[in-house]
Amino acid sequence: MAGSLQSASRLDGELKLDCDVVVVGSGAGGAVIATTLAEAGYDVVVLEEGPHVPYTGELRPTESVRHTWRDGAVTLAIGLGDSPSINVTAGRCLGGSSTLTGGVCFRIPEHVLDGWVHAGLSELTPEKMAPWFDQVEQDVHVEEVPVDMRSRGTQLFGEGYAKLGAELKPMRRNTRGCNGCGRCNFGCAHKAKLSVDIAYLPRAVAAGARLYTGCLVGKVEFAGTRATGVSGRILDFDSQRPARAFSVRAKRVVLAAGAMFNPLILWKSGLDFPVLGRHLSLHPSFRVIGRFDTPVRGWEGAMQSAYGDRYERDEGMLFNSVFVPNGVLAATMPGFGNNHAKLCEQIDHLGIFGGMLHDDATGRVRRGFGREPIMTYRSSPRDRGRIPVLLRRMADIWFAAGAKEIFLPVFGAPAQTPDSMKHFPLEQVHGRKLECSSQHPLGTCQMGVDPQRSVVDDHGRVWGTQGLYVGCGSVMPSSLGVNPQLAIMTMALRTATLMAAEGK
Amino acid sequence: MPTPVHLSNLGPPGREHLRLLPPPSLADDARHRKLTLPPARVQRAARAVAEALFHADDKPADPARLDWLAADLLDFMARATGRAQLILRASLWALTWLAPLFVFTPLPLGWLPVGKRVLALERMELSPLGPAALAVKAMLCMIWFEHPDTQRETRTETSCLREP
Repeated sequence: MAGSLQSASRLDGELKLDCDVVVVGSGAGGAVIATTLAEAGYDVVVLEEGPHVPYTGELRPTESVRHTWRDGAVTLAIGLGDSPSINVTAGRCLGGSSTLTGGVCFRIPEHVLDGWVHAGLSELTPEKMAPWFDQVEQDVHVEEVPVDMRSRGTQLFGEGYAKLGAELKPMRRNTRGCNGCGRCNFGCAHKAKLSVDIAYLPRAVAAGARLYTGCLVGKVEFAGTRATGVSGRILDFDSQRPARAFSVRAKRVVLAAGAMFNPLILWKSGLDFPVLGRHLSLHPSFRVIGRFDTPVRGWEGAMQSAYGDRYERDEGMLFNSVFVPNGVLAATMPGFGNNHAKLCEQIDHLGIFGGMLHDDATGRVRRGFGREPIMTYRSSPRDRGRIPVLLRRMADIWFAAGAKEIFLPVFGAPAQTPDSMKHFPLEQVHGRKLECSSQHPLGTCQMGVDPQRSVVDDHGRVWGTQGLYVGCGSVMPSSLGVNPQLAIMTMALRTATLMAAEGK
Repeated sequence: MPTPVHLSNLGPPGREHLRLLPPPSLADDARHRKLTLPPARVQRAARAVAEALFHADDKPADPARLDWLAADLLDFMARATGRAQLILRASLWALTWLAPLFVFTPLPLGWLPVGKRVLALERMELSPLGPAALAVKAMLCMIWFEHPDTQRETRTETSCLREP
């Protein structure tokens, strides 16, 4: 029997449901778990807080932000001490953050998996994880980005990188029929990016899953230590404020609300663990912009097409091709009025590349006022020390590529020439002056073998409970150092398959 | 170890599967929410900053485009969650009342001549209050650069590498 997709905000009367499995969140983790279990014959209900927005291709980027991004893109992890505050982007719509990614698909690096095995997670070896990765890559159609899909900005960065003795490698993405419009973050205009709302959720519905948008889950309900369902509030359609109550009774509950919200739900449900909400990994990312004498028009081409991992293994630095809307580029140009306008005249001459840190997972999610958590981030001394190193390397690459000037992610800093860059006191710049972003909140409900040091076991089961699972990026036992959507989907597929094997 | 199984008989993944997820009806379409707009003083404050930000070649920005920008910013804020509204409104408040202090003029930003506003905002951008300036600047720039006239003037028209 086919399932359904409904906006709970528009339903009349009480919403009380019964099912085998209720999945909280429809992003990369929740969608995979819901689909796998529905196809295995389970009666599945998926609850999503955000709306269904299948028409992002018709929207301007800022319209997409206001409809599908959490907090209108101003979600912030507050930097403590000398750490930068980090703008964290996350989705709030059917498909979750998978709808906002550049489509980048990395397998979890072997050295990261080796570390997990060393910590006791003996089933997560590269060999044992390979079939799960194979399956997800088939499900979401992972393919290599052809070289001719690279933007001019990426080509230039690659030329500079080559002059310093390394080669960019082609990204792999979950796409089919990409035209290189460079606006993946705002919803693919041609539905070529196979985010989970395209690759998984239709399968879930075909297999009988019931999807509800506009449902804000408050807590997990228990009978003793056994999870018996969830309860929460349906959001008023116009104001998006919590309104009527709803409840779902289920034999099993899966939390897939992400690293920011799973801890809140667990706390509200009366659960606590020594590490719950801790070890938030964000992969702090920095953009360095190069200005060239000739037009670059960096928005023409795949938004993310190539990467450089020369420094990933030993120093935890990954270079990722990226582009951002011209308005964001303009905002990063220093000044107002005439000074700003002169710099903006050169936007079509700018190339941009991202640098990402494989961080030590030193962030934290805390209970906030109302329904949103508070995130804080205190960089480890090692991470903090690597920021200027990363930025100088990226500046060197742009200059090697022929850039006349570069723009650092330092608030208000003027453009730097090769000479002025040598004397720029980057190492002395306070963290609050650094512009930093993250698209990868991970951890906070980590998987492990010790209830004192983790929240879930290696099957994704919450310690000390029955029938309660976590299945999204929040279970990652450590920072990954690479874009995580494939890792999230893979870990979710593994959890769901293990759940199905346990039987109804 | 259980083996992952692929049970879907829908064929290869792709946009064709979207037929299984019906699009929202007009009543469920997020674009058609009834909005409660922030008060007019927020619009005035945003416009005062925008007039300074986009004052180019010593000429004022096109008033019609500024009107469109301010109205669209309000729409953005009305659709954002409470926390996003709080951050943007607090940032606008800081620009309105604190930026003028950087040019030693204790008046609202909008009361200053545009040249003095530019100086005040540039000084604030370099101060520890820089993030507040950036938050507002980012929103204004993102919307401003979506206007077709701005895109034409700055040669940043949206285009794909390949024809669909």
